[in-house]
Amino acid sequence: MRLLTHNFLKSNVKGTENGYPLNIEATTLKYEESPVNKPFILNLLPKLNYAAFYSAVQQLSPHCTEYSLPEIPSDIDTSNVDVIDEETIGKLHTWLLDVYLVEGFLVCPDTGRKFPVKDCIPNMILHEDEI
Amino acid sequence: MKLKHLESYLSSLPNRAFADPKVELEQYPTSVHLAASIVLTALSKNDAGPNTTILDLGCGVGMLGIAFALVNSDIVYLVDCDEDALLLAKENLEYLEEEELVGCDEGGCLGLEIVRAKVKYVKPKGGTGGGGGRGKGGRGRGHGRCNNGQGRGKRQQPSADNIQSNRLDLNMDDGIPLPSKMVDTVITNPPFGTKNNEGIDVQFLKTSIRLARRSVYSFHKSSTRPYLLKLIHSWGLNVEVVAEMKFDIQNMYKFHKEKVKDVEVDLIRVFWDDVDRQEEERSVVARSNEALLEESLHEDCYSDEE
Repeated sequence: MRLLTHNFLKSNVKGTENGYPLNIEATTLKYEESPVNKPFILNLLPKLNYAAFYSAVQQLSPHCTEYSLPEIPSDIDTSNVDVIDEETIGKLHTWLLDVYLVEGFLVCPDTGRKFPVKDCIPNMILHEDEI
Repeated sequence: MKLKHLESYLSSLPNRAFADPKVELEQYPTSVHLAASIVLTALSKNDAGPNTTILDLGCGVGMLGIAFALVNSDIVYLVDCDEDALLLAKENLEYLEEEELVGCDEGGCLGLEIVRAKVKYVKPKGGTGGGGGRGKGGRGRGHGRCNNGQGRGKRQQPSADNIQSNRLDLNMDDGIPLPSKMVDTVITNPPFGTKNNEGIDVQFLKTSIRLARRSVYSFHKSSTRPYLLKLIHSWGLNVEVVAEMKFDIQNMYKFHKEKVKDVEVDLIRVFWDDVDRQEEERSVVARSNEALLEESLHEDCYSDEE
């Protein structure tokens, strides 16, 4: 799972108000560089919850020191993507698409329910009594 | 990309079928030819390819979603409830990455993302209100033509009341922890609802409609067509039957007494009213897709006969 997907995921366990954004407990991460697709990033930005994305990057950064990944701005005006420079787009791309949560947990902010991530696959299946 | 190229990539996937199919999930493999044909159809309607995002709901081993990735859709999400199927899908993705078929070219597919989640299904009371496969004919049973849903024994068409109660609520909690209008196109090959789970195909359709901005491609037994079209129109949406086909269901499960069963199946496309405006915006993409299409147009995109 990449942060692109994390930005969309929420907890819908019983008793949750928003269930968003999910906190990340990382056990294993992977970094794989890929070519930047600028139109994709610019299309995505207005739909992205930037605060949730920024918070996720802060949670993963301490686990990624070996890759010396870039820092991203703490805030971006996603309503006006035309003014965003290439360098920033590259940084956003890195964190949205090149960093993978391989093993760990996604934690519901309301209930503390932990959703396991295994083999890059988040398991959002609820038990009978949680629906 | 030509149909045969797409088919050849899909044929080289390590996992094209379920290792141990689960009856209750109606896990049937999607044929390589069918997956490739659907993607070329979607490409022709600008529902796939560059600048589109895709979600495959109930993806199984990922055949349909992967086909969408291979025509350079920006990103593809695979969603299924079955861990075993998803691990096979994961192996397929690893193969695509090793072969540099995704995630490597500039402007190509940025890869596929897997999420394990389950569509919430509540069995309708009294056995009405669902669209899919009421009656005894299971997926893997229906024989012969069934043009208008009539003449299939004691099957009854659902009344207008049922349609009214089968509302589309875009804020529903359908068990899928993803936001509405998350992707451009949703493709789903849902369970047909013949294993004591009638109406589950309609639930998959509703969830797909919630998740899509632009269009939904979904498979349904042809026998349910009149009900389904009426239902979708009652939701204020447009729908077209883009293909009629026969599913060759192999003799996979013990309850299939005959070796190969043909089931008449429609591929429907649900789309929104403002689609024309979107098409205008996307005309640039369309032009680039035209080249791809011209190569494949004379090839048969609509039948699933091998």
